Amino acid sequence: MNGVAPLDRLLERWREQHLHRAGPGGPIHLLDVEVLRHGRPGIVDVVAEMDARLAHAVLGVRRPGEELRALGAVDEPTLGTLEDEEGVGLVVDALHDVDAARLLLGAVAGLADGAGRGAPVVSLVRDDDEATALAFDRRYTLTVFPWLTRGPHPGTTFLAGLDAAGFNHLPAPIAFWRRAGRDLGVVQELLAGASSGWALAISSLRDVIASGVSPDLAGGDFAPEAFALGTMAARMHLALDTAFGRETGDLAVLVDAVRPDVLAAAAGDSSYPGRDGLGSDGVAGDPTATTSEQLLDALRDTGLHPVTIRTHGDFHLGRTARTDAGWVLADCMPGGAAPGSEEPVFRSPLADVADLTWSLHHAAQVAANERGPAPASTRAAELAAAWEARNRRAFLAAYLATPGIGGLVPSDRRIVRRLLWLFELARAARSPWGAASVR
Amino acid sequence: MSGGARAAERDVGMSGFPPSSDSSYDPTERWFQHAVFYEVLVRGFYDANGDGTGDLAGLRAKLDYLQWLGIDCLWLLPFYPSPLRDGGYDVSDFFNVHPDYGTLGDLVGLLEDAHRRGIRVIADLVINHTSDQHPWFVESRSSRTNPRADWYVWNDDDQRWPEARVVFADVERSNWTWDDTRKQYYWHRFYSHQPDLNFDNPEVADAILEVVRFWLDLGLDGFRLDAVPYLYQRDGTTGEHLPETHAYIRRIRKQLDAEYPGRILLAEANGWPADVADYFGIGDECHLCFHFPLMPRLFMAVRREHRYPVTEILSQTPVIPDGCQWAIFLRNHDELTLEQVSDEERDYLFAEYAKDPRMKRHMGIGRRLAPLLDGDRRLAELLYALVLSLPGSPVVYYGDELLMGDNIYLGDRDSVRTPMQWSPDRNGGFSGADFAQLYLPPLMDPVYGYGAVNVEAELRNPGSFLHWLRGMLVQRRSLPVMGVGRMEVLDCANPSILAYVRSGEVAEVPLDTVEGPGLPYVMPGEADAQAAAADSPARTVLARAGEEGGAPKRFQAVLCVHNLSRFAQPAQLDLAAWEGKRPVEVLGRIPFPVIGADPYSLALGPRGFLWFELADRVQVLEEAGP
Repeated sequence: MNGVAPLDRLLERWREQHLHRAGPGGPIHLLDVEVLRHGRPGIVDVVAEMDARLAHAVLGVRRPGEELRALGAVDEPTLGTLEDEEGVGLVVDALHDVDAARLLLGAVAGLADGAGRGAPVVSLVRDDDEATALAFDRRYTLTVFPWLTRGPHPGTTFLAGLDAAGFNHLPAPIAFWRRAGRDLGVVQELLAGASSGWALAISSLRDVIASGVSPDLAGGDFAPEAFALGTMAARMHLALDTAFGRETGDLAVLVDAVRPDVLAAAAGDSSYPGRDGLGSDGVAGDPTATTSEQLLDALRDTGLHPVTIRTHGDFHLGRTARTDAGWVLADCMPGGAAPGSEEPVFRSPLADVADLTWSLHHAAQVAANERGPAPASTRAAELAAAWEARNRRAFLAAYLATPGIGGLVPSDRRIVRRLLWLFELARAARSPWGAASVR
Repeated sequence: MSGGARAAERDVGMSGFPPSSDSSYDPTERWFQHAVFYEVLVRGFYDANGDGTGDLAGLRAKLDYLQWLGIDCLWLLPFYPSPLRDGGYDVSDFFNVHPDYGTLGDLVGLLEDAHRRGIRVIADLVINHTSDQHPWFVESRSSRTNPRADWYVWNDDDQRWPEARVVFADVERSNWTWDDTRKQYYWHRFYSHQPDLNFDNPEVADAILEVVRFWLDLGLDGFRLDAVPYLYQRDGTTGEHLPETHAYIRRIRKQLDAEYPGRILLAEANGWPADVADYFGIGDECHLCFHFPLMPRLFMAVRREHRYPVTEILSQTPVIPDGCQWAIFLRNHDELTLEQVSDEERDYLFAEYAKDPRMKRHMGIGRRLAPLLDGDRRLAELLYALVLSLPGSPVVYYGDELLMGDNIYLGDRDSVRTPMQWSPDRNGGFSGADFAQLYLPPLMDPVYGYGAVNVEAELRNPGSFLHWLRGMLVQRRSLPVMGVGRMEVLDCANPSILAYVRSGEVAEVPLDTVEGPGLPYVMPGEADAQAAAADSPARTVLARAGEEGGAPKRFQAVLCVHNLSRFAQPAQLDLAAWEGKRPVEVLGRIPFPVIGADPYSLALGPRGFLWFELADRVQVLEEAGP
């Protein structure tokens, strides 16, 4: 390969496509280049330092003049040209070029090389800042990280840990793509027939709102699904405990860290049931607390040291999927890492639970808002709120009833309720869509 | 044929509907894999002699209607002599016809006329038990030493086989009932007036084989074996699905294959697909088995508006032996059985579909299709589109082609067994008898009564459900891959979309020419359409998959996409495996854009469905012409 010199220019074009911005960025430093496949189409895998991040580009090298077929929404996967021992080659983003993508699984994991039984059928199933995922022959998915961590990717260690602990609510990992201590991607079983939890929840909400009756009477009841989802969440936490162990947290430290966010969120959207400031039984069921400030103080003073484990870190409906075999964790990212961090942190498992209940709230808000402004949406909002309450109960009931979960969460259900209040409001404050919704 | 049968043939005129000559008759032994079955209650279909009860002559008189509708096989509910304490499933004579329904001659006449129209006929065969008025049981209970003393299952106490569940637990406390004459208990898995036969007695096993032979000799095309899992009892078991039962079914099958090729056995075994599939054996037991768990899940799926109730059960349905087939249905003569669902699912279905407690029957819901769906025609069309395209041979329950209603105030399962509604005339055109003579009152309510819902009105309305369903049966006939093609459920992110591809090699087999007795059956304004249909290859040639080794074959693939939601929905389907094919919409032969590497986008209306034949581009161009 003698085309290294122009690679940084090709990566500039790659950066423009990935960051959706034109114009100059910072300098690009190539760190690692590996030719995964010689010839045409060739495949070259590149890792580069770019704007203080580690970029990962998978390049396909095609014969000039060949017909290109794009995968996904990109109009043109072409990045430029290079010259190697085969001569001049047209460089494409291999993850968005049908013919190059078809060769990737063989090049990366040796699972299908297109020889013998024909080239695999490939389709693009995910394409965002976290990952690009390709499905092959409806058997495997190859998830490629466009941005790498400097050590192991928390999403892959999370996945590997769950798998090793026997957690079977996920697409089984087949192979991890690693080089020079970096996780580049992962090959997993394809989740056949999967729909995201978000899509299922929204379908149910639309049915409830159109029916005009309470969720238990409407046909599209989500509660059995929420119940099953609660069981899956608990099993996930038990597996994470097995895989990564547990620590003890300090509630006072946590309260101090999230206090400003919680207070801001609690003063916001009155539709949010977790706000709870005016309840007859006090804030989040604490009769001694008539304000959120008082409840935070009370929590701080409990002296509680809750169990902490490695959590999912962003456990919302969109990370889950319903399949013919039940609910699965479709997406292991961020793998327990805090936003903006590459290192997983230990948290109370109730933080994940709160993420999910918050997601139920968000779904209800979205569905109600589809009905337009008040007064048309007033009834819709009531029904959506009833839907949210019903499915919160179902989810939490299943979660807390799962054998073994008592070792990870406080036994006092009142404390559980208040911790969920705390985590939900903290989540609402840090989430862009959450903050918009609450406020 | 008996002289009586010939006389019956002469006596029964072809009144009502002019006969049709456009039938097709599949001559192959695997006809059942492509057939559409029509379940009919003789008592409730048409009363030819005006005594208030439907009869075989009445059914024979309506064959033109059934031929026009496009069904391939009639399934007759029990027509044997019976005290009728359980809809005829309490047989008191295995070798005759209930006098209310006619004579053996009437049956033979029906069979001959049906066969002439390309329609086969199967019947219920109740072999597990008899009526307590059957002479066999009368003799058996008379003493402990009579020649048939061991033809039934007797015991001195009622404690044996406690593992066996009581099927009708809401009305029977035990599977044993005390007989005061013999001073012993007798065994019955159903009602106490239905004692179980003792198949461990070789005389009984032989006698039932004689019953089988008798009816096949008369011309029946097969049997639906009622309550087949319960034939034997063994200590420490539930008395269901025992190896001895399978061995006996193999014995019946062997007799059919040797002496009556092309005749079929259809098992009524209400169980999980993996268990029921055992009744196919290795292709040496039943030809068909009902897929009971699918039915309630179809209703769940359209109510929950997502596909998982259906795809879950499909994913747990095993591959069945070559030459076998599932029988699938929406409704039948029994309650909508909820035995094969979880407690939670049963509660859900009761809440959704049986809001009035009177709608509940045993462990199910005693309602017909239309009332179950609150009269939602789009939903009915969607469910039929599913049943006609999912793997299996569809079974249509009489009256459901009209979207007939039910009467939940009638006892037991009579709610769904009311008279067929032929016209807005007296008694719905079912019978000329006085109203008080009728076996059950016809529906007269303003929504589903015969004044509003009847064959005559729907025939005259080209937009009726009857015409829609008939058109769908014609389309299905042109898509033989629906019969035995493999099924691949497609990924779709939208949970409200259920999409799959049926595909496989199909063989072009000319059908036997059916002797048509005369005039084609043409409804007002339909002559042009009928003429066009007569020219269609689908009418004169049936493509068949399977065993026809010498026939030319071609590959056929049909994409079926269904929207389970009440709202319009987008569908993005992963059709990369079919890249380069052009979907041609089946009903209108409309070519859609060629499939590429990217997800294929479709939009479906509320409760809508689309079927596409996946054609080669060249093939589409040829169809389009120069």
